[in-house]
Amino acid sequence: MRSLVKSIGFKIFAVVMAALVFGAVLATATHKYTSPVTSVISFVFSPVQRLSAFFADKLAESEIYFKSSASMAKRVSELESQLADARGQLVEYEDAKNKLSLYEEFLELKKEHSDYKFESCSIISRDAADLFGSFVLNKGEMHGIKVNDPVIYGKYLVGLVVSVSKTQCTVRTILNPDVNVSAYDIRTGESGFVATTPELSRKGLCRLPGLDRTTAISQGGLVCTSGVGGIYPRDLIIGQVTGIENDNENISSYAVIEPSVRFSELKDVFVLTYFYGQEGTAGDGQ
Amino acid sequence: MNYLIENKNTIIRRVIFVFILLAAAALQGTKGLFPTPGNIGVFLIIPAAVSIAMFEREVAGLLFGAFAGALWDTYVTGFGFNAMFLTIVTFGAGVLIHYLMRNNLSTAMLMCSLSMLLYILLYWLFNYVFKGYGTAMQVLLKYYLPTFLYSLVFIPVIYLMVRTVMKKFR
Repeated sequence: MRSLVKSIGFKIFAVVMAALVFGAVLATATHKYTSPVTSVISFVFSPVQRLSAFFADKLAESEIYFKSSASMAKRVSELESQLADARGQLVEYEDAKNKLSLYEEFLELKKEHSDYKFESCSIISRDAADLFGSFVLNKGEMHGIKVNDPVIYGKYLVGLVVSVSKTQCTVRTILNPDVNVSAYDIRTGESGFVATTPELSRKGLCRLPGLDRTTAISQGGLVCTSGVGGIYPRDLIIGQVTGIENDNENISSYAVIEPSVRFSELKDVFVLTYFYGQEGTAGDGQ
Repeated sequence: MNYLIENKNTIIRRVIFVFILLAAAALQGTKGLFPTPGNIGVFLIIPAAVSIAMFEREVAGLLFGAFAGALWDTYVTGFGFNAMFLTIVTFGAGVLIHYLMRNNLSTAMLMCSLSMLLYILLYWLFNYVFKGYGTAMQVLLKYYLPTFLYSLVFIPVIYLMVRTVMKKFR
């Protein structure tokens, strides 16, 4: 044991560990929540992530065919080729349609809020260990993205940036129990904080707790961000109320909310890098 | 420096190991690139890093571990937890093979599965239990345990791949 501790291997181990711990401390101190080691690695290897995301997309578009060896094989092959072409075009059409709809909503939002500054980003990876759907985007500090910037899809709220390196950033969605969003029901004006629990998150739902048992919020109501706190701008759509439940822990009720975004199908999002009233910016009014 | 770079074969071997780690990170971190039944995940980086450390022993092993962990951190929140975890685990694997254990498939199964189990338990404790979520046990049984069992299947494949590279470029 003593020889192990005195060995060069152990000394290198201690140095590497010290460097990693120092990196973690620095990540916290600078409020970027990304270690310098991770920043360097992500800068160097981000093309690999983009490439793997590209292949994953291509893989999702393709299908595996088992070809016949009979006399019709040639004909089948021709038809398969035509079908594959048609499917390819259909996929491209669907992609273009989705992007068009996203950009239309984005344009509308941009017209309504001229103060907003956006950065268009693509999702390049997701964490296998995280059940709540966190993902990594292909842009970071170099593109003006900061920790706590809201992430949107059209007019819909997706989540917020929780860590940022030079070339990429990590996003926590509103399906993560650690994320709270100040919100209000647009019909009744009742407000509170939208959050979720691991149970609801598994079902793809959030909740607006702390409502009176006699709340006027009802099924079908639309819940939007209220802008309180300066993290999210006002009036981004969070989701629709699917029901009102009584809280077992106290005498209040909560509204169950189904987010308007299908998080597992997201490929591209926008990061809101500036809006009037954003916390910690010149326009926050502080 | 001579300690790490012994000859041409060593360099080629280590470059291949870097590519294996890059592939493992990409397959694990990119949704839709690797088949995962029933919405569970898969851990490929841990078995890849531990298998490499078993052959490269403690010094090069821990450096590969730190690299693999830092690479993994780029796919998640980059605090450096994965880099620290894999540095410790790969150093441990290298030392155990050097001083105590034999380097074979059974040992690889044992070391990789224990490492994955330790990672899952730490992740689960920090992210569910310590935060007081009532469904922590349900999450462990329905997500992390199936993910662990599914990942076990790939340990022999990864270990044999690393062993083949090692034999070819010894």
